Amino acid sequence: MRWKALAAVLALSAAAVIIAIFYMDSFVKGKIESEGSSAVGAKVTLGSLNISLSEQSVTITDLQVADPDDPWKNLFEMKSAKFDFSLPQFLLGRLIIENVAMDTPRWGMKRKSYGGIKKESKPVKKAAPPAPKGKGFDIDWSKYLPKVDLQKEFSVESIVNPEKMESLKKLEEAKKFVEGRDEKWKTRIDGISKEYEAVQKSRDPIKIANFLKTVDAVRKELEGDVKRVEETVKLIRKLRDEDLKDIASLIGIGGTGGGGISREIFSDAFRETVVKGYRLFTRYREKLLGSKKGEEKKDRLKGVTVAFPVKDPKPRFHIIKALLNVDKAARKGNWLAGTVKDVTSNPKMVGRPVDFRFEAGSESFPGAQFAVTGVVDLTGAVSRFELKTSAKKLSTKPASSALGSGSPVALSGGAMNVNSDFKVEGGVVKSVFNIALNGVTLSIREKALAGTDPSVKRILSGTLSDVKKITVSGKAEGKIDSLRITISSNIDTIFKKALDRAVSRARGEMEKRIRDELNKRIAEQLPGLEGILGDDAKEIRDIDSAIKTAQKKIEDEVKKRIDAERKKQEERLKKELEKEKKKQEDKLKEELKKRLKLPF
Amino acid sequence: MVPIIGTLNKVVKILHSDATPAQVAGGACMGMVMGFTPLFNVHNLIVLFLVLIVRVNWGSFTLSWLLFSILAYLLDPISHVAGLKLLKLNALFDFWTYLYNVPLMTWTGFNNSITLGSFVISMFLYFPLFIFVRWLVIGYRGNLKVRIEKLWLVKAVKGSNVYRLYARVRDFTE
Repeated sequence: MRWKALAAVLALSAAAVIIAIFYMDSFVKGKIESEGSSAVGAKVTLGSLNISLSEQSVTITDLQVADPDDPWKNLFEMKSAKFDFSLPQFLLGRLIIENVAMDTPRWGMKRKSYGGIKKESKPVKKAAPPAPKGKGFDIDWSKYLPKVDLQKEFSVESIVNPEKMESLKKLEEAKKFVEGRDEKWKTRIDGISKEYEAVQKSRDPIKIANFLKTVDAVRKELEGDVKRVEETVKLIRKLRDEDLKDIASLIGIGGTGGGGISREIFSDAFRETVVKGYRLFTRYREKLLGSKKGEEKKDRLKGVTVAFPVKDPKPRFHIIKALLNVDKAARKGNWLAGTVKDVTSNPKMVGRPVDFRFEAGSESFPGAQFAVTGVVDLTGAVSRFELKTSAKKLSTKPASSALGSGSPVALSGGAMNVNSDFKVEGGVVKSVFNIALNGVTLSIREKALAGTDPSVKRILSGTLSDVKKITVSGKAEGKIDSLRITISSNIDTIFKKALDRAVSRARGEMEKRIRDELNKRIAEQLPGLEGILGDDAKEIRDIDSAIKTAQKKIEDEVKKRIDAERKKQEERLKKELEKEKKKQEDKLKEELKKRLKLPF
Repeated sequence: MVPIIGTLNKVVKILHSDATPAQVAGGACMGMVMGFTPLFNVHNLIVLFLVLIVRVNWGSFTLSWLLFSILAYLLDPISHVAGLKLLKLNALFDFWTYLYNVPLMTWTGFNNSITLGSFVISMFLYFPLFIFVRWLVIGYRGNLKVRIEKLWLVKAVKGSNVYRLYARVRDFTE
C-alpha cells in the first residue's frame, strides 16, 4: 500500500471537504445562475447564497430573473428568500422544502443592466396590437330613440292658446261676456244713481220703497251675473287643471326606446378581448399544468432511469409551503405577496392540491388592488383548476381599450372593479366574470355621430352623461378549445332609464313653462273679470245700502213721529179719560148724595 | 498524428517501466472500469481512491481510461440493454428496491441502465483483461523487448541527435 499516497489522498479529501464547505455556496450559486439562465433563456443572477447544513436551510439574496421577452425588465426578482429543506430526504435524492419565506418578490421591474443572454439589443417597443374591429360607426341612433319628438322646436305660444286649451278658450268667452255686460251695467248703474239722488231728496217713503224694490231687483240681477262670472272663473280653473294634465299629448312626447344599445357598444371588439383573455390563460394553463406527455424520453446516450418502490413515498420535489411577504411600505410598483402550498412534482403522491393565495400590485394600475386565490388539483382522476381573481380600483383604461377604437362609445374616468371565478375540471370550463365601472363618463365618439341629427346628438350625449355606473357580466362554458362565451350588461337598462330621465326632465321643463304661461295668463285676466262686474255689483250694493239706510232713517223718523203722535194722543186720551172719570165720579157722588141725602 | 505518437510513447514507457506486470494489468483494469462507466459517478471516486493508494501503474491506468472512454461510446447501446435487463429482472427486484431506499445510493446512479450495464460489463471484463495485459507485459518484456531493441530502426532512432536530446531531457525530468 502506498501509505504516502494514502496520506496524500486523505489530505486531499479533507482539503476537498473544507474547500467544498467554503466554496459550495459559490459553486451552487454559479450553478443556479448558469442552469437558471439556460432554462429561462435570460440572465438569472443571485446576490449571495448561503447553505447551512446544520440548519438545513439555504438563504439567497437579491435574486433577479430577467424576462426573455424583454431583457431590460425582470420577469421576477426578490430581495431575499430562505428555504428550509430536509437533508435526509435530500440524501435520498429528493428535494423536500418544508418552508420558503420570500421577502419582497416583484415582477416586471426595470433592470439596471441588460438581462439577455444573447447579443445585447436596444429595447424594442412592441407595436400596439391592431385595434379590434368593431361594428363601425355607421349607426342609426334614432332606432334607439323611437318615440321621442324632442327635436321639434318647442314654442310655448304654439301650445298655450285658446285653440288648444279649453281654459283659455273659456277665459276668452268669459272676458267677452264680462266686457259686454259691464257696458250695460255701467249705464244702468248711472241711471240708478241719478234716480237715487232724486229719491233721496224727495224723502218720500213710498218712492223710496219702490226705488228700493227696483234697486233690489237690479242688484239681484247683477249679483246673478257676478255669480255666473265666479262660476265661470271656477270652471276656467278646473279646465286649466285638465289642460295641464294633458300637456304630454300637447308636447308630443311618448314612450322612449333605448333598448339594445349595448349591441353597439359591446360589439365584436369586446367579445374578442374576452376570448383573447381566455386563450391567453389557456396557453399559460398548459405551461402550468405541464405537457400531457409525461413519459420520460429514452435517450440512448443517457439511458433509462428506473424508479423502484420507496419505503417512505415522497415526491422527488415538494415545496410544502412558500410565503411571499411584502411590507406595506414596499407595496409600490409591481409586487406580489401571498402563500402557495404543496407545489410538487407528484401531486398524487402528496395527495393535496396546490393551493395559492396572492395579493398583488402593478405600476400599470397605481392604487389598484389585486387578489388571486386558486387551487390546482391533480390528485384525482380528473384534473381540477380553480382561480378566483379580484381587481379593485382599476382605472377604466383597460375597459376602454377592451371596447376598442372600433366601439362608438368611449369610457373615461371612474374606477373599475373586476371579479372572476374560473374553474376547469376534466377539461371543461365554467367561468364567470363581472366588471363594475363606477363613476365613469360615457361619450360617443365624434365619428359615430357624424350625420346624426343635432337634437338626437344632444339627447344621446345628455343621456350618456347621466350613466355613471355600468356592470358587464360574462360566462364562459364548455371545453377549453371551444368555449361558449356570453356577455351581458346593464347598459341597456341604465341607458333606457337615463333616457327616460332625460326625456322626463325635458318634459318637466316644457310642462313647467307651459304651466307657468297658462297660470300667468289666467292669473292676469281672471281677477280682472271678477273685478269688473264686482265693481258694478259693489256700486249697486252701495246704492242699495244707502237707500236702505235712507229708508230706515225715514222709517225711523216716521215711526218716531207716529210714536210721538200716539203718545200725544194717548196722553190726551188719558187726560180726557181721567177728566171723564172724574166727571163721572163727581156725578155719581152727587147722585149718591142726592139719593142717600148724605151731608157730605 | 501527434496523439498517436504520444500514445505509443506512453505504451513504450509503461512496458519499459519498473512496474510489475500485475501492477500494469491492475492499472489497466481500473482504467477500464473508469472509462466504461459514466465519469461523474460515486464508484469512480472509489476507483480513483484505490488507484491512488494501491500499487497499480498510473500510466497504464490513464492510458486505459482514455482508451476505454472512447470505446464506451460504442459500448453504450450494449450497456443500456444489459443494464435495463438487469434492472427489470424480477429476481433482483427486492435487491434494487433495497438499494434504492438506502440514502445516497440514488446518487450513484445505479438505477440508470447505462451506468449499471457498463459497470457490470467492466466487472465481467476485469479479470480477463487483467490476465491478458499481464500476459502481454510478460511476453513483451521476456521476448519482444530484446528483438525490438535489435531492430535497425530502433538503433537508428536511438543513435540520432534528437533521441539523445530527448533522453537528456527525460533523465533531467526524472
